[in-house]
Amino acid sequence: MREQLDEIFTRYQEQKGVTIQILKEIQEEFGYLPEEALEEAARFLGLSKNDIFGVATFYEYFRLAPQAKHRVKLCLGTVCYVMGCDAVREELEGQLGIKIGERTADGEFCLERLPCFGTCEAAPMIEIDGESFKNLTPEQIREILAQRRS
Amino acid sequence: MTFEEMRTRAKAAWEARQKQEIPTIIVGMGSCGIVAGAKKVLAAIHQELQRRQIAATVTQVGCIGLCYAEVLVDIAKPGRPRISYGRVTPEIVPQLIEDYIIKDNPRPDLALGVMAESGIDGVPAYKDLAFFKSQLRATLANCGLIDPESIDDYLANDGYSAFARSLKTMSPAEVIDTAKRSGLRGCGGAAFPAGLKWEFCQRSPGEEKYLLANADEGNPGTFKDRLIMEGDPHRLVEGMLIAAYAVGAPYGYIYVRDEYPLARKRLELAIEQAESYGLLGDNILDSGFSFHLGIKEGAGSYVCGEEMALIASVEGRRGMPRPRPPFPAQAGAWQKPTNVNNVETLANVPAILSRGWEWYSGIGTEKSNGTRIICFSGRVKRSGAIEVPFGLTLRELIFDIAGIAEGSTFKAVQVGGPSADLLPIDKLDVPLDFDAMTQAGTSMGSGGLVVIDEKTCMVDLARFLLHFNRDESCGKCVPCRMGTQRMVDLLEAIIQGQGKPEDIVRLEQLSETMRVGSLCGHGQVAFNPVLSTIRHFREEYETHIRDKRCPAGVCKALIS
Repeated sequence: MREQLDEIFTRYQEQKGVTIQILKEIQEEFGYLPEEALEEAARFLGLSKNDIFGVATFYEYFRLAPQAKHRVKLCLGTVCYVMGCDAVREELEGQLGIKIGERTADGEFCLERLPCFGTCEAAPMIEIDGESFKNLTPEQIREILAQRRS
Repeated sequence: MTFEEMRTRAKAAWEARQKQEIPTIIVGMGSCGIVAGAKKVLAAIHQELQRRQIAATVTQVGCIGLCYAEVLVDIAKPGRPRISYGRVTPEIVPQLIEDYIIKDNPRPDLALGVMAESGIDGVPAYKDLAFFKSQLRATLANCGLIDPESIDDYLANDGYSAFARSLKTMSPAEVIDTAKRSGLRGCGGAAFPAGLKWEFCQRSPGEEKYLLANADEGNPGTFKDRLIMEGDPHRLVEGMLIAAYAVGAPYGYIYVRDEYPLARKRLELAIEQAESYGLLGDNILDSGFSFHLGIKEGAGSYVCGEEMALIASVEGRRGMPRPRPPFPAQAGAWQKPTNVNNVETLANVPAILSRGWEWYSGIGTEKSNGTRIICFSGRVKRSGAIEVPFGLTLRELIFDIAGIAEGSTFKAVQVGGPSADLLPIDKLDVPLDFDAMTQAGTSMGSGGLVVIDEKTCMVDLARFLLHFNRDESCGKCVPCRMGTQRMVDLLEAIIQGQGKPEDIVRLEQLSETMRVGSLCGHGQVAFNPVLSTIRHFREEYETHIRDKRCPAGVCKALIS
């Protein structure tokens, strides 16, 4: 881990306001923010552990525990609501057996809230592993999840 | 190479492309197009051209605003005006190429519009389309027409000319004066006069100043800044150069929300290109003026669209606002003089400097000058973005331009963000004008219109919006943190059939506490969807509370 972190840190020497960027790179590298990595980042940035945990827990993007294999991001913006995302959410929660913010026991899926992708024509919308699915109905959810599983 | 030389070279290349003897196929590659499948359509086009051995230029553009008709593919045959085709799928591509490129059938059944003075062969002219009739595209002039990944396309269309001329022939004070006289007001929601804000920052002493572009665009239903950044990123860069020159800021950042990866990518490329052309960096165009521009990324926080929270986030801290004064112009990022402007505000600037403040102030209404980009979404026929002068009414915008979706009856519209008013049908005659809207007790916010139909329960919608505002509260102030939670609790009880008669009063009292007790613009308006729906849809609340019934048939607990 030390080497990977040093590789990230060297690119941010002498720069200001880079905490979020560094944490994003750490999460990209390890899939989440391991506690040890956060401590190292705090040391590099001259921050307290409290400060760095404060940033890591403030922003929706960061994960402090290993993520699931497939991240299902559901848009919970106004337009998606108006176009029926509540029914999509219920179907997702029902199919996966988890609520928003949780991970399935087998580590396959986690369900996350995303407040607005900004492509409101596509409402209701989800993104799984970077792939977007637009104008969703609950009926389509089963098929989409099945494809991911296989 | 001097600026004139790069401009001339770029123009020559552009002209040559317009005159080429082979067709050009243009694919809309904004995020909305990509979500609709534009990459697959692009691949199908390449495949078909290859299969048939047709020589054609294939280019990409940003979104022209016709999000309802994605995927958009335009075909410009030599000597013919450009025709736009909507809802193109990979399956349609082979036939379309055969019909219009090989043969001469422009497929009026598939065509949306032609970029010409009048319609051709059954295809209407763009300017006659409902969506385009009232548009005045200045900020969006290039979106959908140029390749956003080409600085030469931007240069060829007068890009960076306004900056180059301002740098050479105007002082910072004169640039500020132009901005002030134009009447340009902020497009993020607060609508503060831009020139005046620049002046505050310019007057602050010190060499280390920052110009920040607010590209956090967290309001659901608003995607205008995304359109600009994906479709014409150099326009934002140029606007920032002019603003930085005016305020005296050698450093700038564009704070881009995490949810906009394509915008970030195009901006990074634009910055790299501008640097390589000597338009960013030290001693730009030999003027002595330096401006170093970078990108700071958000990480999923709505409240970071508020300028003080944004500054904290740029500094790498928790996105929590702090009291003002001191204002950013005196002490902002790292306690240095800072000017924060919305992306659209900055993107307006090149045209104002290029065409003059008289041109800009002559558009719109007396007190609301210029144009605004309005986004439509929800239960509309045509969702997307348009750029119109101030002055059109909400009724015209919603019913004439966007239209109501088939099978929907208009119930309400939310204008400008999750804390904006929810206006019923009899409140739509207010024009897009800051003063008129204030007088009508409402506001424009970020200009995103979310149209709601009879299938939505206004109480449940208020609950949803308060959930959002609660989730996005930074937590610093008790009135906002606890107030939004209490309001969510009360609304949840109401939709579960456990509402009490005194709940409406309690919601109103909580709203007042939040309004006076919250530090920043989030808490100060987060209760508004509730107040607004109580004001305009009170009988829905009363039916839920008194009769334990949901008139819209949405609240499951109340459907027996």
